[in-house]
Amino acid sequence: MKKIKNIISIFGLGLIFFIGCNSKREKDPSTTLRVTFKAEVSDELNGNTIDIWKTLNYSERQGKYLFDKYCTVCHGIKGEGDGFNSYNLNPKPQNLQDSLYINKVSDVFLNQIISSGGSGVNRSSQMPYYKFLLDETEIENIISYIRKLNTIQE
Amino acid sequence: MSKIKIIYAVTSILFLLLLAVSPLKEIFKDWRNFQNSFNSYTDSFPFKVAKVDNGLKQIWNKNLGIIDRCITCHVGLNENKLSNAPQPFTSHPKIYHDNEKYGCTVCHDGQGLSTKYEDAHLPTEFWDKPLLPRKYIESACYRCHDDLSDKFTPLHNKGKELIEKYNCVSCHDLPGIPKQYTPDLNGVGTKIKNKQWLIDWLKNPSLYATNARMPNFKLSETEVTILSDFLFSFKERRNSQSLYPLPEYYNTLKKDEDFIKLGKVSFSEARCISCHSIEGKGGKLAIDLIKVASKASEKWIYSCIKNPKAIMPGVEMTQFGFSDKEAAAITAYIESEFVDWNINEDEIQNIKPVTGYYEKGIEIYNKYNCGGCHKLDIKEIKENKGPELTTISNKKLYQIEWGKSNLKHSLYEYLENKLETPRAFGENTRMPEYKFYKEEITAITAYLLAQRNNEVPQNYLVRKNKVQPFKPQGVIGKTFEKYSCLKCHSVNDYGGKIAPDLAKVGSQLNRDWIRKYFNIPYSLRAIVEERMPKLFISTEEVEMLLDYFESVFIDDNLDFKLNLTEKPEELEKGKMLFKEKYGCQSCHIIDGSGGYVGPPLDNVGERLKPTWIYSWIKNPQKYKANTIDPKTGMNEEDLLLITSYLFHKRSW
Repeated sequence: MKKIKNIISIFGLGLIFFIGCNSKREKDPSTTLRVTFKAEVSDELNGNTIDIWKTLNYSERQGKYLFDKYCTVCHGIKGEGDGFNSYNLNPKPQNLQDSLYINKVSDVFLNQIISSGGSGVNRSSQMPYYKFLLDETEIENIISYIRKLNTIQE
Repeated sequence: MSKIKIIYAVTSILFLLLLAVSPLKEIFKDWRNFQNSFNSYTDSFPFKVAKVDNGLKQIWNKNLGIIDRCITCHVGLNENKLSNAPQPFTSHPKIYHDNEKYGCTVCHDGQGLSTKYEDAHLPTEFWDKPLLPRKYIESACYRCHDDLSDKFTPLHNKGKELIEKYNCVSCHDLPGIPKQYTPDLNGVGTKIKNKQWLIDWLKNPSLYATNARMPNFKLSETEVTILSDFLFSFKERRNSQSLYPLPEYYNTLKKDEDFIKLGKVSFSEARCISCHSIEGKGGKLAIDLIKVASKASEKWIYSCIKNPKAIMPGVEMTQFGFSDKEAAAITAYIESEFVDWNINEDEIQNIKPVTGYYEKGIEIYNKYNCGGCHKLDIKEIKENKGPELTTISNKKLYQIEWGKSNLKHSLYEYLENKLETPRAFGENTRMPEYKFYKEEITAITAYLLAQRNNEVPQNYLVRKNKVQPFKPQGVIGKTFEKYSCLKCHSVNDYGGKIAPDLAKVGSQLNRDWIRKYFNIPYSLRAIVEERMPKLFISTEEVEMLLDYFESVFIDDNLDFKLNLTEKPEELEKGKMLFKEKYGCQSCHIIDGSGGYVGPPLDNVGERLKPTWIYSWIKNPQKYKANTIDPKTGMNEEDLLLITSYLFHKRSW
């Protein structure tokens, strides 16, 4: 009898140990509940705005903020060069959606034109320079957003 | 050998095997696969990226009490070249904090110690704070910071605006949110023209006005009748202030075309649509006037135009200096124009009051905490607020009433759905229904998620200086109050955001120009429609305000002498710099041509003081933090030439 007790207790201990090693999978809570809501609030934002949380990463979102603040008055919300102030300018602001142009220019050139203005790259001085207002990272963020402009649809 | 020895031998071997299992399990964990595949991934990568050593990695921040093993799988966090690599190898975007120093869960939440995907990221039964979705990450900034600009936390700031707009603080405690003006209900019986309007309004306010701020309380048919009877019985105004009697000639003249025309002229001259809208067109500060004549009585409209602050205590509407005749004419104009033509005259009949409406009315009034927004001077009204939200983000999940919902339990999902369908969680919930857009729900949730107790140590907190309230006393205080200046203007960031800050206006503008502007206000920028309403201020008041501006709203740093030149050839040089070198004309109109972004600079010498022009060009952001006028870094010589050129742009 004693032997059997010993064996049982040893195996019992082993079993407890083994079970302890296994983590228990929880039940998915959604299977147990009933009421469904009339509208699930998802990541998608309604209205005409783009879903910036899905399409843009952090630096592009920062770039979008800066672009919307500083650039859209002339270059337009979508960067098509049709901002409300573009009608007063001659030559017209650059269309940043123009894939021929935007694929041709390098990041270095874009950086130069934003930081030193149009006159910095021998173009119209109507584009002001932002090197005293924006820091290097901010300009990089704007460039990364400009690169994304043509993929954004409304 | 005895049997017992064999048994001991077998069991000890089994035991050893069992012990060996647990380290073996550790070998086959997912994170090892991730580290191995990262190393093979970097081989195919065009740039050279350092390989990682196999092993568990963690960030330990003693002060914050954080041990984060996220970097065990997210191995490429600090490798800038991996910004487009697939997860979990993507690099962290450039932010202002070093993740090695701060850890991950301090912002992202989630279970830092775990190395299993599900446990670390997703909401689980035993972990209250799952990983915050990307859009809500900005609410984590407020664990240390207390005030951040739109650049960093756009959603949170929008949520705050919305919470202010919808006056959430009347039912929920939230720190730092001011209460909005809501109409006093004393004397509502003399304001509302017919009871049917009140019944319709109580049923669903957004049917009357699409942008109504009052939510839908989903009252039952009987509740609506009782409440409207109850409210309609209040004919007395506060402090027994009665409505102004209409002048005697009003009744004979009110259909007269010339009289109505006078009203229309005064209405547009005072620029009522700066604040009020008419069918959605116009200002957003006050109610839409389109059907107002079918809602409010003539006498009330007349009194409101004459002295709004007396009959609506605390209202932000300015007290215009209209004469009695003008006020009556405007009333006649409103009565002729802003009528709800769809109202069926037959429907308007005197509905008999329900018996015992008074006691039942008080009960309903208290149940839905109407007193939180609308004041009513009877002593039976009790405060009956909803739960306080000051530390909503600290709430444990078991403290929330989930009802019969099918949510994956996490706080942000609860908040989103509570805002969408407030009555879905439990049968006794009282929260009314707001028709929020999804965008707005996201914004409000982002704000609420930031409401929590400070858990971080003192030395981590970044606190901004609080905006000092500007509350002048005496005559000036009364004048500011009378014309509600701080509804649109601000003084050192305290006040409205619509019009410019006044804190330095004495050093900025010329006295003569301000005097003229009070008389004939106009919109400075061609593109901006809003302009100051004509307030019909008396000359004495104008002079008093100007004296006050010149003695108090002054920046001493702007009190210096400038060596401005008057030589024509130098002015010509300034013009060249202005137009050719710095391209100012792309935003400003001068000599009849230029852009619409900044204010026109023709006659700018009449408007601005030279030291202001000089200092503004030198550093625009110093005087208006969010202006888009780029700082040019001009040298001293150019600066003086352009200032001289602009200063001589005047007619005298």
